[in-house]
Amino acid sequence: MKILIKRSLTAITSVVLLSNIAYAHDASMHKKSNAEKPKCAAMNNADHSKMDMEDPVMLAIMAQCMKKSHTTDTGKKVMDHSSMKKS
Amino acid sequence: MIHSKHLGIGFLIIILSSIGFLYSGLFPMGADNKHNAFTFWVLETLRTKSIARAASNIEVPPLNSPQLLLSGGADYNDMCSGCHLKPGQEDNDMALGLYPAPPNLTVSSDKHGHAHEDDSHNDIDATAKQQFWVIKHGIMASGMAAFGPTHDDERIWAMVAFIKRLPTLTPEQYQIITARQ
Ligand code: HEC
Repeated sequence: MKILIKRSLTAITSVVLLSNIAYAHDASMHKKSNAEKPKCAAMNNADHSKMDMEDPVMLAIMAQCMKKSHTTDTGKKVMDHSSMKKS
Repeated sequence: MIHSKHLGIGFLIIILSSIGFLYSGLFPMGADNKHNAFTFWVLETLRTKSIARAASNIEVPPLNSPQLLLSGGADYNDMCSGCHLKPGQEDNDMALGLYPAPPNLTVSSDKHGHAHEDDSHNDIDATAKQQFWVIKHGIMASGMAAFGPTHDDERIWAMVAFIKRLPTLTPEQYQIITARQ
C-alpha cells in the first residue's frame, strides 16, 4: 500500500512538473506579464511619403497599429466600433 | 639523452605547480576581475572558432517578414533586452556586471566589439547562422543561456530576424514592434 501511494505521488508530481516545462515558454505566457500596448501615436508625425512600404519594419509597425487595442495619445484604448449598439 | 631527461623533469614541475595552483585557491574567480591578454586571446579564439565551425552547416531561412519581426521582437524584449539592451539604453546592471560582457545588440556588430568569424563570403548569412546557433545552444561559462530547450527553431529564427534589424530601430519603433497585445 505504502509503495503504491509513493509511486502514484511520484507519477503525479512528474506529470505536473513535465507539463509545466512544456508550457513554460509558450508565447501566451509572456503576454500576461508584459501587456504593454504599442504607443502608435509616436508614429503620427512620421512622413508617410518617405516610408518604404515594402520594408518589413514598416509593415510590422503598421500591423501592430492596425490592431484595435493600440493606444492613442491620451493613453486610452481606441474605441471598438464593432461592439457598439445601433440606436 | 640528458636533454630529454631535463625536459621530462621540467614538464613534471609545470604540471605539479599547475595542480598546486588549482588547489591553492589563489585564482581570482570574481566577474569584476578581468582576464589577462593571453587568457583573453585563448578564450576569444576558442569561442569564435568553435561557434563558426558548429554553425557553418546551418541553412538560413528567409528572414524578411514582418511576422518574424513581431514574434522575435516580443521575445527579445521579454528575454534578452535585460542583458543586450534596448535602443536608447546605454547600460544596465547586467551589461556592466557580467564578464564576459553581453554585447550591445542595439548597435551594429562592428561597433559592439565582437569579432565574428566569417566562414563564407556572405557576412550577413554567416552572422545569422552564428546568432541562431548561439541563441539555441548558449555560450558555456558565460551569462548566455541556451534557449533551444524551451524554444523551437522558428521562434529562434524570428529573434535572429529581429536582431538583424535592431540596430536600425528608434526607441519608438522598438516599443511598437515589441509590445505584446
Ligand atoms: C543574463 C544575460 C543574458 C541574457 C538574458 C541573454 N544573453 Fe545573449 N549573451 C550574453 C553574454 C554574456 C554574451 C557573450 C558571451 C561571450 O562573449 O562569451 C551573449 C552573447 C550573445 C550573442 C552573440 C553575440 C556576438 O556578437 O557574439 C547573441 C546573438 C545573443 N547573446 C543573443 C541573445 C538573445 C536573442 C537572447 C534572448 C533570447 C539573449 N542573448 C539573452 C548574456 C545574455
